[in-house]
Amino acid sequence: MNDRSTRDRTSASEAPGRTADEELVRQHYDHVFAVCYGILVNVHDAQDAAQETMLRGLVKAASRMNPEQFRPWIIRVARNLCIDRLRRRKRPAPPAELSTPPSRQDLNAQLELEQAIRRLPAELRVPLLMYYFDGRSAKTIAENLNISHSGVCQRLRLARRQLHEFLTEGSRE
Amino acid sequence: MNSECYPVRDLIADSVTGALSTEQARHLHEHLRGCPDCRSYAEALRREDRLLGQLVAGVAADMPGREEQLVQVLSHPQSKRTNYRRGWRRITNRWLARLIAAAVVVLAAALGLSMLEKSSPPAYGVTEALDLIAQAKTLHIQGWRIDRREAPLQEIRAPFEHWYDLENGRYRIHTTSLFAGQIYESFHVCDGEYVMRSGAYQPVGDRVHHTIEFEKADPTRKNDVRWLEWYRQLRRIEGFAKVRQDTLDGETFDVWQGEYTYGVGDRVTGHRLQVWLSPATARVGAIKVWEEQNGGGWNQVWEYTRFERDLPLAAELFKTEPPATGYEIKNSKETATVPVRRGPLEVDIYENTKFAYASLNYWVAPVFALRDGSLVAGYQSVDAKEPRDQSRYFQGLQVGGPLAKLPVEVYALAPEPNTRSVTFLGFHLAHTQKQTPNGPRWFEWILYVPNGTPPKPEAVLLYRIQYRLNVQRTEDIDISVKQTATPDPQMVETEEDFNRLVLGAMAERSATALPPEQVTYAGVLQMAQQIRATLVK
Repeated sequence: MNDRSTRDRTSASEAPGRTADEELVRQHYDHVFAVCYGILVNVHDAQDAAQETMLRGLVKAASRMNPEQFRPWIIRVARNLCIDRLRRRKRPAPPAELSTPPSRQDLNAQLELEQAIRRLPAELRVPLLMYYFDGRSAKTIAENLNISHSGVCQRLRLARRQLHEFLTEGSRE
Repeated sequence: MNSECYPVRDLIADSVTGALSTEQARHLHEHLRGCPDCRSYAEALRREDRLLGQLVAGVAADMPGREEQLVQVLSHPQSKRTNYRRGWRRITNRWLARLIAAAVVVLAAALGLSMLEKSSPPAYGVTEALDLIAQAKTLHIQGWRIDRREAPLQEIRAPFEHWYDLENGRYRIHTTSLFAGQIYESFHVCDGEYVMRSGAYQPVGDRVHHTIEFEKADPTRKNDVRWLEWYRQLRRIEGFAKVRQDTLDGETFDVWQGEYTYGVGDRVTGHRLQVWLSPATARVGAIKVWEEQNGGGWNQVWEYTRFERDLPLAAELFKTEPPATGYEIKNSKETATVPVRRGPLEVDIYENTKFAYASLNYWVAPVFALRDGSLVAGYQSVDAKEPRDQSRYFQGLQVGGPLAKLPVEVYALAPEPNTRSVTFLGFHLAHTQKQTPNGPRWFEWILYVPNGTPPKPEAVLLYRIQYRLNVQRTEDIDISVKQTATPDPQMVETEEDFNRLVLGAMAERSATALPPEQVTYAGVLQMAQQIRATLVK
């Protein structure tokens, strides 16, 4: 399979009208966004952080970084940037907006789920959310976060169990 | 659930991920056939898997749109990129910021886009105008918050005025609000080094006391002011529609409008924002915010009448000399500390529970990080249903021994991220007591010692609080609360830091204005070392 991230940057502008920068956006943005969302659990914050990460990344890429190192590097940049933003948060993060208006019942379920996700420690939350962003592939997460495949599986396991605990906390005697 | 079920629950979680071997899958299948508990657990995890999938799919649906937006940024003039390189901290978790952010999504659907394209192409679009605000050296902003009193129905306009000297991290913020039935003015002023903050409280049956408190400005958070973030986030109105043109003081403005919803559960309300933006000078002429009413219709809640950038501001504005009379001065610049910062989890959990409203309450502040990795925290816990006098809790306590059995006992702190599985265990260090207008208050000072190699304080995102409740009462306590977080600790590098910060904080919370005699820097470090030797094998 052709791994898009390893494509040579100098020939990246093969699609008509696309610049090399644009090509990098298409290749990496969704992964960067997934990490940002995993940490910040908020669409707009994640979008903002992902954009800033990509803009920083493009400056770096312009200095001709080895394309194979680019993905793990930019994921690290995203992670650090988001953690930095979390540290600087003073006020409560209001519940994330949903991209499509759901029914009231779904809204409640979604809000409960989001609240529970926020309570997960970041080291479990990020892989769990990335799992769904990355086409349910533990392998991709392992590569992006630079941890072992079994490490990813273990975190997903803990995350699911912990999440379930949070979601059912109020319903037990 | 029997003992066999425990390992099976892991298998169930793995099966949802699709990470089971054939052998494991077979084993799980057999167990599930005979175990209704685990079957319902498996169903629940699959349901949660579906919900997670839906949540992320909803978020991911707009991925092409986001990429497109970024590509647009890349292909358009320097404005935005320059801005990022300048390193503006665009912190987006402020609620108002989010309101505006949401509008970008909601607007296109919510409004018929009545674009006013008849006028000549504007010199300043939204992006450029907002860049100018983001890059402004000074800002002067004035307006009203609009409140309504029900009986008699009355509209109250509470004025506010803000000045920001962004180059030097100075600001002056004046607001007015209703407090104890009267309108009063409050302010905070930052001279770059200290923040002077006014407040007010009313002891039962007494008149309102006005107070002044000093904080040390955090040099790493220069210009990190909630309001300021909102102004910077005005850039989010990109995506709003121009709904009309208007003239203010002879100048022509485009009026940009967007709507959004904000809130949670039953408290979701619609908001509408209008911004008057001059296409000729990029000046913001006015801003108005409305809130949607339950029965329909809109109530205006904010009005900004002045929004000036890059005007010279007098240095006197940013002086932190307290007024000569009328205020109770609660501390001094010498004992001022960098204000408490709360971890995001704490606030989330607060919102999620009734804990903040329970009659049982506690506070952890301040927190100090010592050079050897230990933490010292000041802490109070009050049960409103008990007698005010808490001296009994502190009788017979040993320095270095167990903590006082206060209503909420924070027995440990767990750093996050916690890659080393280390916990900070609490030991009694001292207590202080101080008379306040609300009655006497007791403070316990706790030494938290790590039971392993502690992470570097700067690598810790937050410390989760582990606590136990020492009261037998459930009617108004949500005991499902299991963790919360401490404020960021202040670093104590030297004995001089310790005397100034830790002993200073103790003295401030002591009736004698002196720290407890037995607490010394060397003593605390030695005690931490001894305790640590017993904790770490």
